[in-house]
Amino acid sequence: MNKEQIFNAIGDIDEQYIHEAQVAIKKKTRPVWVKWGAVAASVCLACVGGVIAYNISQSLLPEWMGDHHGTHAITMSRVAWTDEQVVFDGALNKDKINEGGGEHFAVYLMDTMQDFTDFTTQYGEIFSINQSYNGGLSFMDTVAKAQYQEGFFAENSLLVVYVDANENTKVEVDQVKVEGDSVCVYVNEKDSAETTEDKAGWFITVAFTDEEIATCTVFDALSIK
Amino acid sequence: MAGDTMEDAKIVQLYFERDEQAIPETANKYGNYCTAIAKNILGNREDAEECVNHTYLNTWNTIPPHKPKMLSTFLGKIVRNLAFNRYKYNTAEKRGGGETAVILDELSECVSGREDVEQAYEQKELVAVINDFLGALSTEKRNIFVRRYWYAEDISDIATRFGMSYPAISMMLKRLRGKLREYLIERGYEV
Repeated sequence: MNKEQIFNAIGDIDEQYIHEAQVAIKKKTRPVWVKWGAVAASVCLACVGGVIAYNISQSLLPEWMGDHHGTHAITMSRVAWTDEQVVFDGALNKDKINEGGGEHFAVYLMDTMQDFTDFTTQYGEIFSINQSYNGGLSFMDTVAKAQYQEGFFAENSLLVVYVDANENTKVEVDQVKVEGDSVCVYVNEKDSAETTEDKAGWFITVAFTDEEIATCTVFDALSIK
Repeated sequence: MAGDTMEDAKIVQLYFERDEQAIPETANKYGNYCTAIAKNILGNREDAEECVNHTYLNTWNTIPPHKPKMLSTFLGKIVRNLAFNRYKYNTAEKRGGGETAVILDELSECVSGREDVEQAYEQKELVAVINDFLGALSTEKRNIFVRRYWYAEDISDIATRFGMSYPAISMMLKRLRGKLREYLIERGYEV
């Protein structure tokens, strides 16, 4: 098949889709604080370098937000543990997960608010995204506090990593690497004296600007345990 | 373009009555729409207008017996085909502009590039598969895909229409092309 053939085939798609696209128009309004926050952050980065920019951006983050790797805001929240295949079949790196070895965690990318809504609709019940564990915030409360809403997705994307670990394992992000067309989140799992055999699930979210991952098509998360 | 059903029905009726007023009425309502599609593909107004005029002629020769359900998309498909054929002619003659060369390069990511001479009978199935692919997308992503690859719209214009940034649209389209490629492979197409 060549490009002309597929262009021609697209020409004959359902007329309803053609009509919907003709009348579609969406005005996304970005809150003013998003615009000016981005301007302030970029000015700080330009003037003062990485360390102080880290401190400034850290101060803008909610207290509950555990970490801030470079320019990536990260959240972590407990979710229900699951081994349902549908969860892994929907992951961007499902081929790597299916290869076995247990080193890869399922990743999901949300470019738009609609993507996020679809994700929570599809997997919300499986992961119990509204449930709070051990007094912490639920995933949905975490996301709400981070303000990952319509305005956020105007120029950013959210990567969600599902980590399946043991109860009381300390889960943390070791590194977020964007290299060429690939994004990889490296996750460290540290067992402690309190770690049990009971299973526990975690959602790690990593925020990217659209510009940063514009050319990325490969997304993965690796355990470095 | 209001898309008023009653008005479309009236225009179609003029074709059925072989009333030549059908063409000025069509041009009045859908002239800009058709010209925009042709201009996106061809990049110049002169060639685009020529295609639009041929569209009216084709429509006159097609209705009746054909009775389109949606006159706008019926016209749109004709002008798109004519414009693309003109593009291929212009390209052979090394003329013309428009987004089409870039769009074809993008679509080349989805396919092998080998011309499949036995494809003709599978065209209908391929269209059905692409429809299934589009049907599984969110409305927003589907609209963005269609605006780029059916309407041949510039990415900047798509970004403005949907209130998103250029990199976001570009990224979304890249991922959608990747998904389409996977979708075709999973359904047995040698892409």
